[in-house]
Amino acid sequence: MIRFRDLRIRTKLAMTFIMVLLPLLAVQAIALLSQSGLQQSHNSSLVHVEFYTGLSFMVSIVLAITLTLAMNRFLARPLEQITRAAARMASGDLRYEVNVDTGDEIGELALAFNLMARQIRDKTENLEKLIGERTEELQVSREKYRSLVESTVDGIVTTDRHGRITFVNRGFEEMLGLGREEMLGNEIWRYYEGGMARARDIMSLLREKGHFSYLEMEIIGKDRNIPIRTSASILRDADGNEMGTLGHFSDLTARKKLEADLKAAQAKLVQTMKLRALGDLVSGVAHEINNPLMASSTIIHLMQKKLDNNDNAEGRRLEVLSRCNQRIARIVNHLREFSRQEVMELKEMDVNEPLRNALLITGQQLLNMQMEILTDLSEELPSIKGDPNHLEQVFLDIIGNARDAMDGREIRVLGIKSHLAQLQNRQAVVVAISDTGPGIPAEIRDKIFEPFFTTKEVGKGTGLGLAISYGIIEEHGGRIEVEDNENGGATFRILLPTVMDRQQAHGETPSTCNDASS
Amino acid sequence: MQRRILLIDDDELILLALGELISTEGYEVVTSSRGRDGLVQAQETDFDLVITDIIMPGMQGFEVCRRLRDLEHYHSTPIIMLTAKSGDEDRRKGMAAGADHFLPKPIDPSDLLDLIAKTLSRESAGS
Ligand SMILES: Nc1ncnc2c1ncn2[C@@H]1O[C@H](COP(=O)(O)OP(=O)(O)OP(=O)(O)O)[C@@H](O)[C@H]1O
Ligand SMILES: [Mg+2]
Repeated sequence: MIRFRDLRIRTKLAMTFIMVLLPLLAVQAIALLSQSGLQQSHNSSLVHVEFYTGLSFMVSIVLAITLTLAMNRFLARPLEQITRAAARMASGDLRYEVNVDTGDEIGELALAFNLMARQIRDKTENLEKLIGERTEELQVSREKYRSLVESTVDGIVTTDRHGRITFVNRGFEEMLGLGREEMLGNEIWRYYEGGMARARDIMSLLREKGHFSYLEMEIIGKDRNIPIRTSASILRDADGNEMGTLGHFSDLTARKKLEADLKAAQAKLVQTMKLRALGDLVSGVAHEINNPLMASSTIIHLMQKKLDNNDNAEGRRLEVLSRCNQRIARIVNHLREFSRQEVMELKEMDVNEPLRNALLITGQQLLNMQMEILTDLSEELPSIKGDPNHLEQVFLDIIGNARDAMDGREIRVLGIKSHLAQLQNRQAVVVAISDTGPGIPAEIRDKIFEPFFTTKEVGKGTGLGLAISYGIIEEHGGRIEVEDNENGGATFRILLPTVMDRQQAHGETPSTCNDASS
Repeated sequence: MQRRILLIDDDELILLALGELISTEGYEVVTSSRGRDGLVQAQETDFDLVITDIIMPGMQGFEVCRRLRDLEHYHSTPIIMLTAKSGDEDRRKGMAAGADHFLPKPIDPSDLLDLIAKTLSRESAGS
């Protein structure tokens, strides 16, 4: 038997239509019948019409109710279910399935609907998996970039459109010596040497090309300015709107220092070469002067010897000539020492020995000039490798300079000290000679070691003393330092490597005090 | 008997001055400004003492010294070398060439005269 629900919706509609139409037709037929009957019996026909109209009305109501129920059952409910399912789906529940088993188009719609839901569910699940994978990938790569950004020694900074710092990496923190919490939100130009103006230059550079590389400038750190090289670019969003900037900073401190060291080494080399050329020249000149000087001194000697009495006019004139020659001889001597024709003979020795000799030679003169001498020589000094004669000459010159500096001053104290000092990686024997003179003005401090530089009266100094000393100490692998004392005088400090350090350094680089500076 | 001294130096002023100095003391002095000329003169006259500079154009003092020692008369004649440098190198070379004394320039006149006197007296005492 055909069940009602098995009928397709078109059939259902047709049936519904018939169900509505039939009573109407029935009412119509009854009405026709009653009209023909009316003509036969007039009286009773009025009652009949009333009856049939009432009947047809009742039937219509029953039919309408039946129809509504049928519609409800077969159309509205399944549709309602589908609507509910759609709503649940919209709220994210893709598991919910519509349970419409009507077998008609609505049933098919429900099936299609469920299929669709299933497909969406599958797609969504796939998508979720995909998103999960991608998110993980993203996290890995983000972590990679983060650690890259964090572990680089270079500084990386981003700013917003107003130049306010939005991100700094550890490299930048360490470069400046500031924490990120101190910097975030501040304008980047606060950390530029040159401030706003510099930032404006940078921005106009950036706007021109969108990026730039290798601009050298300084940034302001916590304790010092840091020379850096920077590259930067403008950050834009997907629509190309300016979001801010990305800056990359490399610390050039080490490179700058290397450059400066190189420059200093070059300058020193040039200086050494200059001195060498000068030495050759000077030695040639000294050699040339030597002979005529010797000849003239010999003749003066002969003439003086021939005079019985040197107190007459001739004797006095010869004396003047003789003194002229003595001075020339002294200058020539200095020149020859400066050009150092004599080879130094280095031997193991105690630095106090030439120091004591120098004091012995000058001591009386210093006392005559009422100078106080304070000596403090360490007796526990390790040996140095040196030439006692040359070192004595160095001490003599420096003591002589101290004497000249204190001449005519109220307080005249000469300090002579020797001690052992620990340099960066080696030991050095130090001789410090200090005075209470006027000190050395800053503007001539790097000139005093130059040959022929002197502030003394003509005839009093050749300006070679310290130049010679410098050369001698350098050949000992040491160095000379000068500084002003608190009381205004000058201190010359001579540093010489100890024998032990020289031996230790043997086979590597030669041990000197020079490279241990700064 | 007057002692004869040969003085060799390429610098005329040295020859003049030292010649004056030495002759004032009563010695007979012959001067020569070239090593080679000096050797010729040494062969012509028997000198009691030779004083020679080291650095000269042409034949140097060392060579002069060596050649003198090859001559029979000069086998043991005292030779004084005047050196411009005080380095050991010259001294060593001079010794090897057969020189007896070295005087670094500039030379103090009295020192030179003392040395001459001493050398010659020892020489005469020995012979
Ligand atoms: N202790 C000191 N105090 C003040 N100035 C000094 C001192 N030592 C050196 N100077 C300065 O350095 C200059 C150079 O010194 P240096 O010893 O080279 O030459 P000098 O003493 O003038 O001449 P020389 O030593 O050849 O006779 C001096 O003229 C002086 O101006
Ligand atoms: Mg001086």
